[in-house]
Amino acid sequence: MPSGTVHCCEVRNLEKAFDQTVVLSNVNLAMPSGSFTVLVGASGCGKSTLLRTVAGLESPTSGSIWMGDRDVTALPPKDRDIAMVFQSYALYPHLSVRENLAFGLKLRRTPETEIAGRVAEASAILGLDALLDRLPKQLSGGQRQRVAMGRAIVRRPRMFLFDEPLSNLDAALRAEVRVDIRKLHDRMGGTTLYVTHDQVEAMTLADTLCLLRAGQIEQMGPPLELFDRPVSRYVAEFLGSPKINCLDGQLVYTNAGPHITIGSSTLSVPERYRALSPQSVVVGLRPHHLTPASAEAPQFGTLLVTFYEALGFETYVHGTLQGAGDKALVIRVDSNHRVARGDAIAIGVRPEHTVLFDPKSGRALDT
Amino acid sequence: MANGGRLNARQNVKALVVHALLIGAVIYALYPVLWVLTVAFSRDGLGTDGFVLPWPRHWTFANFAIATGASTGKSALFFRQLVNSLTVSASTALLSIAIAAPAAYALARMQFVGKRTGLSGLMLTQMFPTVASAVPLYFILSQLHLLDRRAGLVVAYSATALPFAIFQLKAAFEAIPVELEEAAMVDGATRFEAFVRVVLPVARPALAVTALFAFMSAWNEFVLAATLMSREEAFTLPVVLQRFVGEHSAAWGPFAAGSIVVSIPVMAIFYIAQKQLLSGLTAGSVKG
Amino acid sequence: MKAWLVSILLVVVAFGFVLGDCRSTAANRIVLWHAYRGAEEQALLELTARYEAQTGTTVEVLAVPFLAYASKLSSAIERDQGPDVFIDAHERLGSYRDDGLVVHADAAFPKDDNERYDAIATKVARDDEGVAWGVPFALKGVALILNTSLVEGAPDSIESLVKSRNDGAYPLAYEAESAYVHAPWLHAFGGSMLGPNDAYGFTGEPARKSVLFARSLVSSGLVPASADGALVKQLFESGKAAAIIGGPGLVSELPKGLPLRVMPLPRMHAAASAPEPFLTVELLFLAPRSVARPEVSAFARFLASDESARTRVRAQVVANAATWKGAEAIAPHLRAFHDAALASRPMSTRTAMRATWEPVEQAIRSAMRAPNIDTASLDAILVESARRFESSKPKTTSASKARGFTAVAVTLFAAALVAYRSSRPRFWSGLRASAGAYAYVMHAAIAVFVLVVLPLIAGAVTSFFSGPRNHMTYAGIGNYVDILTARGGPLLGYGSFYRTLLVTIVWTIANVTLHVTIGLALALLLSRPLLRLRGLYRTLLIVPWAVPSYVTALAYKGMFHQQFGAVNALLRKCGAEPVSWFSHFSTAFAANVATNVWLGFPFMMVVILGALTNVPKDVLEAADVDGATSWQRFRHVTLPLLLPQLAPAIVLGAVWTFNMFNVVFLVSGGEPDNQTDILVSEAYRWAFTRHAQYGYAAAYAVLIFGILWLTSRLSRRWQTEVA
Repeated sequence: MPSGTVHCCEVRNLEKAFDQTVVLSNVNLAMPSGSFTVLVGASGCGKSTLLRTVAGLESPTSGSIWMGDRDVTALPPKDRDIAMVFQSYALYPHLSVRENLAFGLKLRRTPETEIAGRVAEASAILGLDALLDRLPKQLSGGQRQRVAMGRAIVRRPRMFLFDEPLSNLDAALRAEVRVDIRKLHDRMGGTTLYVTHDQVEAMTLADTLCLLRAGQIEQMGPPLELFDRPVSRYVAEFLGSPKINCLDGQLVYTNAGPHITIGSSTLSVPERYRALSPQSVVVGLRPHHLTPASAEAPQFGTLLVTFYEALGFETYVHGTLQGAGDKALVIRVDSNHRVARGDAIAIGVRPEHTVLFDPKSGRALDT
Repeated sequence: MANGGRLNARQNVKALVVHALLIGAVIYALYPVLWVLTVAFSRDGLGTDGFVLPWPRHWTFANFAIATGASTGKSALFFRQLVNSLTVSASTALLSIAIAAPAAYALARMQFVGKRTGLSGLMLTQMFPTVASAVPLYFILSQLHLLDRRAGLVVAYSATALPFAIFQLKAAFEAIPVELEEAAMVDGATRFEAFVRVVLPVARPALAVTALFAFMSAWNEFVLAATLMSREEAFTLPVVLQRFVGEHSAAWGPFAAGSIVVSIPVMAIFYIAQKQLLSGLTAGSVKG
Repeated sequence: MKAWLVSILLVVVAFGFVLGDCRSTAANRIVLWHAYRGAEEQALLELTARYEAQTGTTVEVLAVPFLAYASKLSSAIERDQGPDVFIDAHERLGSYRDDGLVVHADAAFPKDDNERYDAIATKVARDDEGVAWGVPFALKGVALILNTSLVEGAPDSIESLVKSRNDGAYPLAYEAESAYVHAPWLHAFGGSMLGPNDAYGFTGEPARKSVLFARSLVSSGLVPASADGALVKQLFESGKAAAIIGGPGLVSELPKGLPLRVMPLPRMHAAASAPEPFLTVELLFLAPRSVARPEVSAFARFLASDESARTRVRAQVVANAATWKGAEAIAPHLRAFHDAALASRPMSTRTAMRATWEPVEQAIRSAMRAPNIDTASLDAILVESARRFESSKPKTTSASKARGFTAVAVTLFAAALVAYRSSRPRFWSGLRASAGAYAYVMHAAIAVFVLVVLPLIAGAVTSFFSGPRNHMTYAGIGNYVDILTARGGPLLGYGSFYRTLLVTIVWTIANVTLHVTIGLALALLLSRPLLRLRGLYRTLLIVPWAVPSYVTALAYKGMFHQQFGAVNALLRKCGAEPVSWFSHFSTAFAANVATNVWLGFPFMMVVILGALTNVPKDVLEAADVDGATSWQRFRHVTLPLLLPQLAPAIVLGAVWTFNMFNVVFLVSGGEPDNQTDILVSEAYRWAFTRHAQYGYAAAYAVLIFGILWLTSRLSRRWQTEVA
């Protein structure tokens, strides 16, 4: 350990290829004890493969996986002290809920009394008491999901792995269980690795968010850092809903100093980009940073409203930026702000909320 | 209300049609057996009247007495042979499952050198008619010291039943979600434990169908049994039954009676086991 | 529930094995095999018990079913594990000598005993040099059996018997299309089935006259057409036939109390000599390894002795002359059978004899069933039957110079395959990675290889040889060439490989389609929710699978009989013309298919019922929500989910049907004119009826294998191309 700190789990230089297709390459990931790491990315980015490799269900083509100070790369899943919640839950259909919960403990020859105690504890935490003698086929989707979690927590493993555990639930339930999972993590004190394609889950659950793109880690860090300081246009577009507005612009230097022109609109340049030379840029502006012009957010253009989505607590206004070749743009306004189709809204943005990307590489320009 | 009533009426008509079709099928299935029953229960064989709906003119149980050896004081021997049949068939069912299930599992889930060759080889064995293979089989079993032992019969039957059993189980295992085994392995099972404690129980209906098939193939076989066994006490029932057929004449009454006796245990087993054979157990395991 | 079932199974298995294998341990035992049943078996057992009591020797008696007798004998004796003494018909002597299954039995049948047996039996048991090959035991042949309540006195000729009036009953019923029962007419007209030097005998004037005679009996409506043994017996039992032709075995199966009388066949006005039935002399044969044991010969002598004959004569026609002259109380019908036997003609012991049955019966059937017949058409039938006999003869293939070539080629091929495989880069690392999987498949691989593949390979090797089993000669690919050139006949002629192949393909497609369709339909009906009596239906519908197929196949044969079958009775009730089912290819084929479909649908139904449980309900519900009709739901949801699971059962079902010979054998028997034979039943005919040409049969088997293999390869390629 070069740094001297022992992580609960560490992935080093991992590479995974199926036949000729490279699924993961050069993945390095360290998860300290007690951390909640979320792997997020579009489908097919390799996030599930990474999780399954950590679980030991897939073996890497090269690289290693460490748990504590042990290299577990060659160990089968059962020797890794992990528990996993599957997307499909994978409940044993021939066993009752109780037996499902106890299965892993029985395999490890845990004494009966302890099994009973742990099952009772888990079922109390998850509210499964009334369901213990049912078979999986007699449960609802939400109940099955809770059993699947229960099966993980009775084991008290060093590490929990979740593979899109909420994707089969309806929206309301999903929000509820999301909170439960985070609470559970804090209560159990284990280390969690969680895979999702849902950016809300990713943002709300993670201590560390790890965004994968085509088998490589695009960016890793606290969720807000990824949100506010994306390393690439890809990251910026992936996180946030509605999606970040990306407009082609020019970084130019005039007498008034550097500024950005988007068509006929002009935007001042944040402090951190002042060293850049004049060039074409992609300007990233998050909808909720675009507001009707004010003192803090000086106007940079006019939005012609084409339609709007009033969500009750806020309103997303879609329109085109006047004088910028009819660039489509989305902004967020308070719900008490009345808008109508055809309105022209003067919009502004606080300079520090502007992010710039290289149009060719898509990388952020502030590094 | 009126609407509900109409719906009910439609459902009743549908149910009626279904039952009519099933009763038709049952008649088709039972009609030739009625002949066998008539011959078995007739004192004077099958007359030439009543050919459309065969029915015994003079009832008798004498054919059953002959078939079961009761008339010659050999019912103990018959019982012994019944036990042989049950033992051999049940052992065949168990042994072929025990051998076929792991192989089918490996073929369904694992990659290995020779898998494709093995699979097509297995299929090829079924394509070769057994016209000329009885004598070599006898030779092999005698080399293995399995002649004249019921164990030899069980081994031969199981091997013959294996290809179908493996194909059938392979298809069943492939229908089971892989996640179940992965969950078990994460839960602390080895691959083999996951196979035994999760895959096998979940595949119960397929195992039961396969076992029934192996049981049936052993239950009705007589050429091999007659060839390999050299004591009457070691014969199985089909061998005993087949003795009623001679070169120029056959004792149809006892033969039919014996056939009925032979088929009763099979039907009983099926009746008792059908829930196992046909219950859907994968339901609810994974959310589809 | 399951645990409960498995434990019952285990208890049964345990109990069964606790009983132990009854293996003999007695050192000096004598093993006797026979295929008797009923009274004959009882008499035999009584005698062996007496012998054991007298001498202290252990005698083990084994009754073997007739159908397995020959194969068991040859398997066991070749391995020195068979009987010491066995009882069998004398006409098999020729092939047993060819196969080395018997040796001379002079010790059991010394010359001094010659006078003890009927002269006819002695003559049969000794060859031309006077060497005894068996001990005469019993005589089997046919005679006339009369129902005395329908016929008064003894008819003085066949013609007068047939002319007698008797209350709507047939004056005479016999298996008119069986060569065995037809033979007396042939003999009466001076013919014989097998002439000198194995020449085919069913030719010329005697054959022509005999056929016309039999035809006149049937066409006058006084003798039922196309009767088989079971029907003849039924007619007699129910008083529908006043007289029948049959053997002592038939009489013993008749219900007690039937007023009957047996007499030798009366003479025929049409012919100069009397009708001579075939005679079978049952002999005691000694196995080669036992001939040196004096106690075995002594035992055989004992069984055949006059003293033993006094016991046996209660049940069979003994070959001991003195017994019949003595004052024994002998059942009159047995005495009549003995009289008939003395006037019979012993069957030839030549191996070629076995090959005459098929062409002769073919000729008889064709002639009997033709609506009209004249000299020209009859001659054509006889010429064709002679041609068939000739073409079934083993060809004398000169041993090819390339002897051993085949073995070398096979070895080279295997070596090349291994070399090719191991030369691929990832072969060895793959092999290491596969070790885990091999632990799972090893047992199955070994079991299948040793007990399934090895016998098949051994069978395949036989296809390169010809001749009798224990001294085969290498024939190279001669057997294959013969088959593939249709033995010089027209390529699409009856019985040619190609025509039979066509029939087999149609047979397979028809059966599998119907199996799957019916099985699927029933499975869908049975898996409807809320169905009442489900368990009962399911159980009743598997009955065809549960009842041994041998008996039900014969029930089907009866149902399709032209005159008495239920199918025609039904047709008549509906006002339709009855159909002669086995006279036309299409109807005979349909009868076979009907039987095989009946036998096979329950299996498919059970497999489909099992697979249906794996079709997830919510997908079906989703289809409902999408507004699918039940047909659309089935077509687009159920079926696609079902088919992958059914694939093995369907593919194997097709392969099994391709090789399903017993239905063809038992129901149509290849009728008409071998047209409904499929490849595998053709192979069986070569192995068991036509000169016992195992090599030829094996070549058929290899060809069948090749066709199926090729088909599966092509269909797989086609599937991948489509996908």
